[in-house]
Amino acid sequence: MNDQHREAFAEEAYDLLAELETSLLELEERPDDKDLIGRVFRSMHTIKGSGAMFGFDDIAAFTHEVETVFDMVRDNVLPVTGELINLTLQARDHIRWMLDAASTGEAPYRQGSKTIADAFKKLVQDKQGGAPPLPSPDPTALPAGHGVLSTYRIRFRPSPGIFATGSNPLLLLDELKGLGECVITVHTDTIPGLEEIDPEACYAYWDIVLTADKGMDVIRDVFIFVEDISEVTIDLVDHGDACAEEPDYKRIGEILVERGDLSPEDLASTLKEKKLTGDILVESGHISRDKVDAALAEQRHVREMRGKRQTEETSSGIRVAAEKLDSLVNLVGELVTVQARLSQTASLLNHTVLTAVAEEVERLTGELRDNTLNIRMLPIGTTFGRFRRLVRDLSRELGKEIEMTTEGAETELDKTVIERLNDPLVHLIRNSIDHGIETPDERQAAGKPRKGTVHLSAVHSGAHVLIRIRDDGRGLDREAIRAKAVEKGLIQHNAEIPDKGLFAFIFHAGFSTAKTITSVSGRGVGMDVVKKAIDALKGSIEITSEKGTGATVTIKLPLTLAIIEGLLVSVHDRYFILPLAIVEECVELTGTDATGARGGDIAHIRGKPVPYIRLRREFSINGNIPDTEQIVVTGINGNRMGFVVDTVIGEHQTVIKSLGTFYGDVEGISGATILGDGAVALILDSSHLLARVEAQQSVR
Amino acid sequence: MNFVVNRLKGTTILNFYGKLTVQYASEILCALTENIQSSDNLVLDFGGVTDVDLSCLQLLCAAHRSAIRSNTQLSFDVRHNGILRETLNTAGFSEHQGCSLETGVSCPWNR
Repeated sequence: MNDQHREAFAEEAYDLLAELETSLLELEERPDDKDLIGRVFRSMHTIKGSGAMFGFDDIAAFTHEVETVFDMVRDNVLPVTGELINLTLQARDHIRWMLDAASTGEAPYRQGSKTIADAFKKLVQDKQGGAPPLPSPDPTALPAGHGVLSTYRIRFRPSPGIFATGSNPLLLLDELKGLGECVITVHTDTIPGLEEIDPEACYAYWDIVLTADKGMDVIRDVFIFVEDISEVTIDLVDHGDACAEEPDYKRIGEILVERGDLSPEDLASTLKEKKLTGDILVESGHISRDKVDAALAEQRHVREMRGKRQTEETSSGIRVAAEKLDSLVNLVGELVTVQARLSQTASLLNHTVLTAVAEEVERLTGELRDNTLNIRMLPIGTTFGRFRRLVRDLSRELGKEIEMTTEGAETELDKTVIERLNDPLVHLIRNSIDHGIETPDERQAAGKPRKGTVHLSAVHSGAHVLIRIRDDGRGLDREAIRAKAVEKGLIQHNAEIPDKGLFAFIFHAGFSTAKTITSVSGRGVGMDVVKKAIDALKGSIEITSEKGTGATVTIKLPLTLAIIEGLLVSVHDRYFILPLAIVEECVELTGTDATGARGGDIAHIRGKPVPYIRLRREFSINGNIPDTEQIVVTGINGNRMGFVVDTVIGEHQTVIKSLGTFYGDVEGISGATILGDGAVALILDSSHLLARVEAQQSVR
Repeated sequence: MNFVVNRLKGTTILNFYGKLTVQYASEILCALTENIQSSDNLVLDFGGVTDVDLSCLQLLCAAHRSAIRSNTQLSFDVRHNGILRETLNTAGFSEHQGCSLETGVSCPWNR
C-alpha cells in the first residue's frame, strides 16, 4: 500500500479520533442523545473501514470490537453508562496509540487491545445478565469500501407472509434511503387482479440501487430481521475508484444478464435488431417492462453518481501537507521582501513606469500574502475540544465537579500559533482545576454551586486574538503571593504594587504558593514556561482575580507569526520594527516634554505622563542625536509606553525571520526582518521591554 | 377506514377516509371489487386518507388490472394526498412505468 495513502488514512483517523472524543464527552452529558450515539458509531465505523482498506488490520479488528458494542447501544440493547464512556475513551486512546506506533514502526501491542476488548465483553455480559460474549471480529465482515462511495445493487423479495410477522417492508426501504443516494424500483408483475389477490399477502418486490460510503455489512444489517423470510441479494456494482478509469457504465443488456433477468442468448438475438434494446426485449416478450425499468434506473443512477463524483473530486477541498504550506508561506515572505526592494528602487529612480509596475506588484503581493496566510488559519475550537477530556479526567482524579464551557470556538488563528498554544493552555487549565476550583463541599460551604466552571473563550481584537481562561474558583491569594514575592526578594515588604503586577509574579520560575505538590501542579514549574511560550508567540499574558470568585487569565496573541504589519523606525543607521497593532501614535519629543522623574524617563504628552525607552541607549548606538527626536507611543495591556527614535520611516510589511538558536534568547528582540535594500531591522519585543521598565520602577 | 360511494351521471366516486392499512385490506378489497364490477367509470378519491401502507398500494394495482380486464374506466389522482405520495415514493412506485398488462397509458402511478 502506498505510504501516501497510509499517511492520508492516519491523518483522517486522528481527526476522527478527536471527533470521537468530543462526541463521547458530550454523550456523557446527554446519554440519551441518539445523534451522538450515531456519531460515535460512525467515527468507529469509518476508522474500521478505512483501517482495513489501508492495511491497518490490527486497528480495524480492534475498532470492530468497540463498534459492535456501540451497535448494541444504537439498538437500545446496551445503555450509555459512565463505565461504557470510560472504556470507550480508553479504547480511543488505544487506537491513537496504535496509530502512533504504526507510524513509528513500533510492534503492535496486542495485549493492550485484548485487555480493553475483554473489558468490553465483560461489560456486555454484565448488562445482558450472562448472555454469550461478543463474537470475535470476523475479518470478512469488515467493510470494503468505507470513505469511498460505492454503488450496490440490491434485490429484496419479501415472502408473501411478511405482513403477518409484523414487519413493514417500506420501513426497510426507508432505512436504505437513509444510508445514501437510492433509486428504488418496485416490481408489480406478481400482483394478481382483485379476483385472486390475498389482501394480506405481500406480492411486490424491489430492485434498489444504492450509492453509499458504507460497507456491505451495513446494508445487510438493514435486512437482519427479515432475512429468514425474504430473498435478499446484494452486489457491489460500482466502486468509487472505478469512475477514474471508466466514465460510462454498462449497457442495459449487460445489466439484465448480470441480474439473471435475461439469458445471454436472448440478448444476442435481440441485439441484431436496431431498436432500443429495452423496447425490443419487452416487445419480444423475453422480459417484463418493470425489469427493464429497474435496469435502466440502475444505469441512470450509476452514471449520475459517477458524474457527480467526478465533479466533486474536481471541486472539493484537498488535503495538503503542512510542510508544503510552510514552504509556500516562506516563499511569499521572500516575495514580500523582494517587492519592498522593488518599490524602494522605483522610488529612488523616480521612474514613472517602473513605479506603476512596482505599485501593481505591491497590490498583488499583498493579496497573495493575505490569501496564503488565510490558508493556514484554523478555528481554535479544535484545540478547545481536546481540553474537554483533560477537564473531565482531572476533575475525576481530584474529586471535583467541573464543567467546561467554551465560546468563540470558530475564531481563527494561524496553525503554528494554535499548535504552540496547546501546552500553555494545558498548564493554565490544570492550574485552574487544581488550585482554582474548590471541592464540591468547599464550594457548597462558600455558597457556590457544587459544580465549578472553567470557561474558555476566544475573540478577535484587531490583529490579535484574545484567549481567556476563566474559572469561578477561589481566586488568587493576593497576600500569599505578596509574601512569597517578598521572601524571594522580588519586592520589598512595604512596596505598593497593583494586583496586575503582583499576580504577574507567579510567572517567575520556581514561584509557587501551593502548600502541597500534587501530580497536577504546585511545583512552580509551568507558569514560567507558559509565559515563555506566550512570549515566543509574540503575545502577552495577564491575570485578573477576585478572591473567592475566581480568576481570569487573558492571553493576547498575534493572528499570525509569519508576516505582520510593522512600523519601521531608525536610530542613526540602525533599523527597528514595532508591531503596528500596538502603536497608538507618533509625536515629536521636545526637551520640554521630557522630564526626569526620580531618574526615570517620562514624557508628558497632552498632559499625561508616558514612560519611555531610548532605543539609542537601550542598544548602545552612537552617532549624533537629532534636534527633534520622535517618540512612538504604544499601548500594551492597557499600559502606555514610548520608544524614542531618530526617525519614523513608515509602515512596513514585516516578514518575520527568527534570530536562530544563537541569538534566540536575546531579551527585548523577538526576531528580525530584511528590508528592501538588504539591511536588517530588529523586531522589538515591546511587552518584554515594558516589563523590564515596570520591574525597574517597582524595585525603585 | 371508511368509504363513501357517490354516483353521478354514470360515474361512481369512491371516497376513502382514515387508514388504508393491512388491518383494513379485506374491507378495501370488497369495496374495490364491488364498485369495479358495478361501474363503467370509477373514480377513487383519497383526500381523506390519513395513513397508507404497501397492502393498499398492491390492492390499487390489482384494481387497475381487474379494471382493464372488465373494461371499467378506473382513475385516481395521488397528487393531492401528501401521505399517499410519500408512501409511493418510499415504495418505489414513483419509478414505475407501467405493468405487463399496460405500458404506461393508463397506469395510475405513472402520472
